[in-house]
Amino acid sequence: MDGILSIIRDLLLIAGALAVLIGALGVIRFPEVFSRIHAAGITDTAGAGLIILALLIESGFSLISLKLLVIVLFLFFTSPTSSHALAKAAIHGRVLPLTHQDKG
Amino acid sequence: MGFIFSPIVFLILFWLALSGHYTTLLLILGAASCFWVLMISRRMGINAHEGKPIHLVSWRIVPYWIWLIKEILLSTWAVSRMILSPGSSVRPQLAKIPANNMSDLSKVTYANSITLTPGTLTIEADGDELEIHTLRADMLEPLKRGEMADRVRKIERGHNREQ
Repeated sequence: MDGILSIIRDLLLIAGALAVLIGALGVIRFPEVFSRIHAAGITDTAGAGLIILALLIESGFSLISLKLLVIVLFLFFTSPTSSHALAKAAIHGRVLPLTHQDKG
Repeated sequence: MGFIFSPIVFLILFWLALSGHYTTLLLILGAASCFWVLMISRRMGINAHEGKPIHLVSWRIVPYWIWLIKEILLSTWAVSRMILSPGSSVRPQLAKIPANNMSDLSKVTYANSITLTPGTLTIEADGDELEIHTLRADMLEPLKRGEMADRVRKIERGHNREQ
C-alpha cells in the first residue's frame, strides 16, 4: 500500500514538473501575448495542481493537507483573474490579438 | 444552519485551521485579527452582498469542480501537444459566446472556468456575452455546444431550489 502510494506520488510530481516545463516552453514558442497567456495557464493550473496533489499524498491527513487544499482553492480563483487582467492590460495597451478568421 | 457561514465564524475557523498553535497569546491575537478583518470589511461595505458566497458553499459545486478538472486535464493535453509539436499550429480566433440566464456570480464562475481550461481565454465580459480568445478554432467547439454554461446554470438552479 505504502509502495503504491509513493509511486503515485512520484508520478504526479513528475507530471506536474513536466506541465510546468511545457508551459514555460509554450511561453517561449507561441507567437504573441494572447497565445502565451494560454501556455502560462498550463503552469498554474495543471502544473501547480498536480504538484500539490502529490504533496497532499505525501502529507497524509493533517493540518498541512488542509493548507494545501486552501492553496489549490486560491490558485484556482486567482490564476484566471490574473490571466484576465493580463489580457485586458494588453488590449488597453493597444496590442490587438492576432487572428486567423479567414482560415476558420 | 446559516450562521455557520457567517463571516466571523468562517474567519475564526479559518484562522484555527491555518494556525495550528493554540497558546493563549496566539489565540487572543487570532481573535483580534478576525475582528479587525471583519471591521475593515464592514467599513468597505462588502459584507452585505459578497460576505456570504452561498453559491460557492452549495455542495453542487463539487461535481462541477470534478468535471472542470477533467476538462482542464483534457485541454492541457491538447495545448501541450501544440507546444511540443514542431512548426506553429497556433491559429488564434476571437469569438463571442452567450452567457445569458446567469447571475453575476455564475458569469464570473463561467468566465473563470473558460480561462482555467488552457486553449480558451475570456477577454471581455459584456452584458450577456463573453468574448473568447482561442488558440485554435476547434477548441471553441465545446463552448459553442454550451455544456459548460449548462453546468454552471445547474449549480445556481440547485441553490435557488434549496432556499
